[in-house]
Amino acid sequence: MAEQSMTEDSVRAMAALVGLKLTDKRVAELLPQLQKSAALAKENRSLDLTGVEPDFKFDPERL
Amino acid sequence: MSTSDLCYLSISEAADLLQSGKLSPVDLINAHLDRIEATDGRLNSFITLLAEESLEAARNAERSINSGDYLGPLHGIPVGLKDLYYTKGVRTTIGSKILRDFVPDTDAAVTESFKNAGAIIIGKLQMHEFALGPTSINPHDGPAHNPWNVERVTGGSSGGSGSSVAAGQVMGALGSDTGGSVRIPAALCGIVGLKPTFGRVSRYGVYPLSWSLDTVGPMTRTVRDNALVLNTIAGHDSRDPWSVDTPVEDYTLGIENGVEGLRIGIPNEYFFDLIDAEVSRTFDQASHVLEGLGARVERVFIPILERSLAISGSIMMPEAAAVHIDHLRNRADDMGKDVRDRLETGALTPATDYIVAQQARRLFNRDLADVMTNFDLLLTPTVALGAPRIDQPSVTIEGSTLPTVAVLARLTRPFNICGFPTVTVPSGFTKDGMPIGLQIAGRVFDEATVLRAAYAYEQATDWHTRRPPL
Repeated sequence: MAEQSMTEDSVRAMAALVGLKLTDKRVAELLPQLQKSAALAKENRSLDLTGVEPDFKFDPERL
Repeated sequence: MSTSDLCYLSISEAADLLQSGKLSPVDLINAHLDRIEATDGRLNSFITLLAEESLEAARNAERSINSGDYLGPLHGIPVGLKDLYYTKGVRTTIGSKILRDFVPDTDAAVTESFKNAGAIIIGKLQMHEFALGPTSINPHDGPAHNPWNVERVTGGSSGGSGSSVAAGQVMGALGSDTGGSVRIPAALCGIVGLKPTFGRVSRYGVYPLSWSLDTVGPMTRTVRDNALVLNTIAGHDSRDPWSVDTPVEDYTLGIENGVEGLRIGIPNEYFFDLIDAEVSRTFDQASHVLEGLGARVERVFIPILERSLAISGSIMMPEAAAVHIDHLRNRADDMGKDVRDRLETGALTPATDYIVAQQARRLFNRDLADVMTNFDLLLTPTVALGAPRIDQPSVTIEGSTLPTVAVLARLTRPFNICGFPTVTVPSGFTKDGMPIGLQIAGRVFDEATVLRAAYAYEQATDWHTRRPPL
């Protein structure tokens, strides 16, 4: 399925799931920032991450 | 010696005088309290000043030293703590309104270390709210002001630490560094700031910002002082789950060994894409200084650096939101707008985006580790420009206008991703008199080589000897 763009309605739905109370004004203010954040995530997904495990327990000694 | 001269002694100079009995800890603390009284109305470095407590500690230090019980080079030395370090019985606000009245019932590991070394904590220092921003413009306490020009930002988030050390209000301070929060204010205030290797210094009792990126770091006026403070705070602590049990050196021992034969890489990518021309020129001069001292300085290709902001941002914001999720649900109106924006963005970031960023981090770290098989150090500018004005929400660099916050933290973030020890050392001034920093990163747990190179550069130049006009 194609990736859908974020909308004010989707921001409201996510905020409700997380338990944040956002006014319509806040939703409008946050939307562009969330779109920027989504663009960063897209940049990360463009790397070939096949077989790469996440670095949750970051351990510099492994480097 | 005048009050100002006393306040601008280095820690190592003051330690010699204190140990030999030529300087009283009480006189030293009084000089610093006088300096704070004379300057903090303009700087706003302190959230909580511990005047009576520090005088009492100075009297105790004097008795101990006079009776032959000298604890070492921090004994009797006035220091400050960013206001996110737990201090037993002393409020710890994290620069916030929400935690304005929080009084910890325990000390942070580094607070304990300072106390055990006889250092005198003179106060709790100004910071960006919840350490989540690079300016230290704080809506609850007012902005921290840069001692070199009080209309300019200190940088952040450890802005009070930067300004207080630079202005001679304390001899050393601790900041915390998640995306540059030690190095940015150190560079913009003209002092030395070290982000140790992730896991080198305990974060026990440090209010978190982002668990997988947070580090604790010393801020001082000289490199040797920085090594002295690192000696005091480094080491394994089982109370911090990510503290690493690895040997700790005396970081002052090899500090004078120079850079002859060290291989220093200058990354081709990322660091020079968006940089003020004055900073760029200063950087070139600094690299020539190191070359002149015998280092082998070469360009190095590290394409993954271009992903720094994507990886760092996609990790830091969701982790910070997890730290503050209850505050977001119940006290969001009590946060500054910039911090609330970042935390709410983090809270609404899908878990998959966070996990993918941690996958990308592993690739990033592999590539950086590969580079460090051929190099001892990496050399870059610390911040892309001198300190902007406090009322300046955007900056223009070489024709591009960008948000100030985006520019300030751009060059420091890569080394939080890979955890490398990284120091900033004063390397010049802009034409309008604002300090510029040189950033030196090394292999994991090799703080010794990082400090050694910083010391060699410092001793070959005189930037660290200049004082702000305050």
